[in-house]
Amino acid sequence: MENKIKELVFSFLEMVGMKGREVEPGIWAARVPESEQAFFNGFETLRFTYDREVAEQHRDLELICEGSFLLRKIIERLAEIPKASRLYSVNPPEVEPAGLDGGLRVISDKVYYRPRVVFNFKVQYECDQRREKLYSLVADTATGVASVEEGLCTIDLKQFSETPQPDIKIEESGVDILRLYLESCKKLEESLNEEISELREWGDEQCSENLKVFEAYLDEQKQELLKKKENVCFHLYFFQKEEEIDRLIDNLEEERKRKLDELREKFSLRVNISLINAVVLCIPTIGVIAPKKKRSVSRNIGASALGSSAGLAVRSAIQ
Amino acid sequence: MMPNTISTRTRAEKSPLIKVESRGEQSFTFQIKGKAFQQGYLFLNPQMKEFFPFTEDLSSITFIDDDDVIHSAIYHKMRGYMVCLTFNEWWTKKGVNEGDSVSIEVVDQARRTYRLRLLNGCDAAPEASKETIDIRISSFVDQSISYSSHNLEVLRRIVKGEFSPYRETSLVQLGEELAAGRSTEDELLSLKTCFGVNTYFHQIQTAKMVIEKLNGRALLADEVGLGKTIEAGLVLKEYLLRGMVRKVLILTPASLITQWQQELKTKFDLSFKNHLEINDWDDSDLVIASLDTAKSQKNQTTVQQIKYDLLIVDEAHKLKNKKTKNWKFVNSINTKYLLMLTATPIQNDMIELFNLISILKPGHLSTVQKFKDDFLAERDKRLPKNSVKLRQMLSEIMIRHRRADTLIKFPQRFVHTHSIDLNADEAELYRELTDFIRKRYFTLPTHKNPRGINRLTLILLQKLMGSSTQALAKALGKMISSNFYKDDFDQNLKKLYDMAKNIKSSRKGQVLMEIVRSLNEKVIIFTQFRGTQDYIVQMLRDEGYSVAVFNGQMSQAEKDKCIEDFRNEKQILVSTESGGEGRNLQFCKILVNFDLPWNPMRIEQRIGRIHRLGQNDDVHIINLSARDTIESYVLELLDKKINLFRLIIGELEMILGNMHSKRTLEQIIIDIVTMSPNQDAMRRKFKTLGNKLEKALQTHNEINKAQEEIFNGE
Repeated sequence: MENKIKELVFSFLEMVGMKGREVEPGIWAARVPESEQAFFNGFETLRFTYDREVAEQHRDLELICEGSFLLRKIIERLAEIPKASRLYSVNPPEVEPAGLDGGLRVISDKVYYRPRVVFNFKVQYECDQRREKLYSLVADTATGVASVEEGLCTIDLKQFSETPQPDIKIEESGVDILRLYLESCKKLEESLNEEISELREWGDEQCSENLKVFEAYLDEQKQELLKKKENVCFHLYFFQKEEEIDRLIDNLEEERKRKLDELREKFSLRVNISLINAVVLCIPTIGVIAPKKKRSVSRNIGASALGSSAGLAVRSAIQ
Repeated sequence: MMPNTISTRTRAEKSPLIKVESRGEQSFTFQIKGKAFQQGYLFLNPQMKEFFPFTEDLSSITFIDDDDVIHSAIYHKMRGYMVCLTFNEWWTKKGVNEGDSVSIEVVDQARRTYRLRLLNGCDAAPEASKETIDIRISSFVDQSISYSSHNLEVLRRIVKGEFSPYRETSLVQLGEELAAGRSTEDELLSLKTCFGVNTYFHQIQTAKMVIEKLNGRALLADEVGLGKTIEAGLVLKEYLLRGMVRKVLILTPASLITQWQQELKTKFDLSFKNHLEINDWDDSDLVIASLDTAKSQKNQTTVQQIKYDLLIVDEAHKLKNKKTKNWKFVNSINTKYLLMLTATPIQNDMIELFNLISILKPGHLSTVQKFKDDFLAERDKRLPKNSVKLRQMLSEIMIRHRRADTLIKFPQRFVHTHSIDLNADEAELYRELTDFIRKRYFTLPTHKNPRGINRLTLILLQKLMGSSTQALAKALGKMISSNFYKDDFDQNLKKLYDMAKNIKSSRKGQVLMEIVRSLNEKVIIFTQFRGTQDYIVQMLRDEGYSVAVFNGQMSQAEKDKCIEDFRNEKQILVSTESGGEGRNLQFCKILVNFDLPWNPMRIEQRIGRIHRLGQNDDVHIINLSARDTIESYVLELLDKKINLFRLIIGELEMILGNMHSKRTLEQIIIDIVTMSPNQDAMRRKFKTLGNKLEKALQTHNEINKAQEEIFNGE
């Protein structure tokens, strides 16, 4: 973990034009350019350490470790920068036999780059507690969206280069990319369906249980108040006492509504999907994508009755 | 990196142009032609684009059809088309054919929502509805999923060809992996970034229990001295690091605000703003305030309207009565998590405990009547029946540890007081100064005499005298040379200054040297004033002692070096009040109070530098006070009446709390000093105060006994 943290920090510093050097054992320093001083709380020089004991002895150092605020700040800043890259496969061109649904149909020997996009997603669940999971999907214009994999996809840089091979066209359209993205979102949502249902069920259960306890408590209080009201005629100022008790009973109802809203808010499930980054892999290809065969009428109706294969319609895929 | 060539297929070139058949203010109709719509593309001509006047290149559009099914599309403005995966499904479901008319109607342009209708050969466009449309989403649409707006930005980069080097893109990924790959539930993240905190098993256990089992709502009721503040700090920091909490409010007695701020800053690196430091309660995410201030008429409504993630209430036994404003106010604050801290959840009556729990988890102990029936013994309101069942129910909401259960060795405090007779000239100066202050205290600056000395300055002079004549002389010298006091006060000040300058040797200083000579160990000497500090340091160095000097004017690096020097080489540390805050000085066991602050909490904080959890040896506290001075009365109060120097860590606050006074002890002392016409009157008032403190200590002991019965009795 510490090595990954160091890698992240040094790479980030390089990205923002800073260079860290070890000035004493365990103590690093880096000059902060003016444009970045606001991020580093106004400091002109950042002095930091990865070692907690060193930080304890030198209180002027910034501690960077798992859980430290500066590390979190760096990660949050990185997350805000939308990142996309394009890499070119160094492998020979792909060719698919003709005639299959989807796939490629060879019509000439011209080679071009076709896009295969890796989408890395973060899914945040919040239902009283908060959880995060990472997923990656690979979507190809020829073969569609592959299965959902947990964890983020790392590209093997031995297979890819940042420089394209000469004389190979890149066949790419914004439409394709957008379609691939929407299809990936749909596939991801389908894979999350079960987990979402379970969480929602749990949330509903917790909400009802908590509400049950609270309502029983309120009911008991109401009974006690009603009992008091029965005996109020013996009180000297009974009309005032009655009014007071009625007010208390009304307050109970308000309390109930407030609690219900509070519990609903607390246990309602919220899922947020964010696209961490995307990498467009340009795959050298011979052939064009074969058009998909038309579905038969009966199959179309079956699909539409459900709305979609998992019973879900694609909703706001992008806000 | 620019690609060799990009060929962008424009399907619009292959599709026939869509012609708008008719248009109204809020809608337009068109005929479906070609395969594009069926395949999920809608190409917009200039007339249609007017209904989608968005500036971003990529935006999300929502279509709702007649069956209230939602279709999401992405509008690529530059290219003039929309992509939607489910147009095809709608096409099939509605039995749309080529040549059919479709209408698109604006529902809410700000929210980018449109109605999609099949007109089925009907020529006329439907009239735009003037009523607000109540969008009811059909039940199978999962509303709980939302997408980050950031996603479009990533797509925009791809579509525009604005690619970053893979090294940078993978860096973003690494960051997310680190953030997501946090420790398992067995580890507390907060432990990794705490400083100067020796966390004990019971504290870690408490923090984990609160987070994992009690869902962030708990009564922390450890016995005094076991570190409830640390426990609350661990929970708070853990929630912050896990991203579960952002907005935090801490409510505490006014006298403890600074202490909390310092502890949270030095130990947990958390900067809390005092409500006085912010313009608005909503300005800062981390706010600390006194309960009285928060519930005041001026602030109450504002605080009640804010949605907090975590509320911490210190000294929560102040909420023991449900009918009080305190209770009602805290109960009305909107917060997800709530920690209440008190070592004495029951002071007079079991119902107090019920009232506390009612804020945390209403209904947990059922109703008041049922609680009384089930758990109150008839003979004594503080004693329970069915205590086993009660304790079991309490374990779901309250955590309490006893000192005895923690197996921690608590060091003892030994106190040695040296009552010193001042030299004749010192005593004379003391009398003159005290008279001067008494006379001048009620002569405030007026219109005719705008430069009269204010009260704070007078009190300060009194304290300086109690510290050393050297510190007093320094302060008087500054006042005179400032030329500020241009009236008859000036002459008096000059007289006092001359008297102070003429005193060459200090009796207190001599006694200190005798003490230091008799010791062969590390010693910390505390003083309130820089003038006294300089005098002590000079005296010690003249005798050849190695001395480290610590005060608030030093830089962080200088402070670090000073402590290290004291730890490794120097025998004596001479420090002002800021000395050692948050630092581990437990390698030293002897502390000398050269002067005594009038605020006992400050004395407690000095002692707390060496006498704390983690100290293995007993500590010795040496007090120097001049006979028949205010300091000697203060010392008598604290030593004889409340046994300050023999208390268990943390008991002082509880005892002072039992006085139920709105004024602090220091304020009471100032009033006694300034409002007593003579020395005898002052002595009598101090005696009365001493009796009140004795009673507070007695109450404290009674409460402790009752708690023991309830929580640990058979």
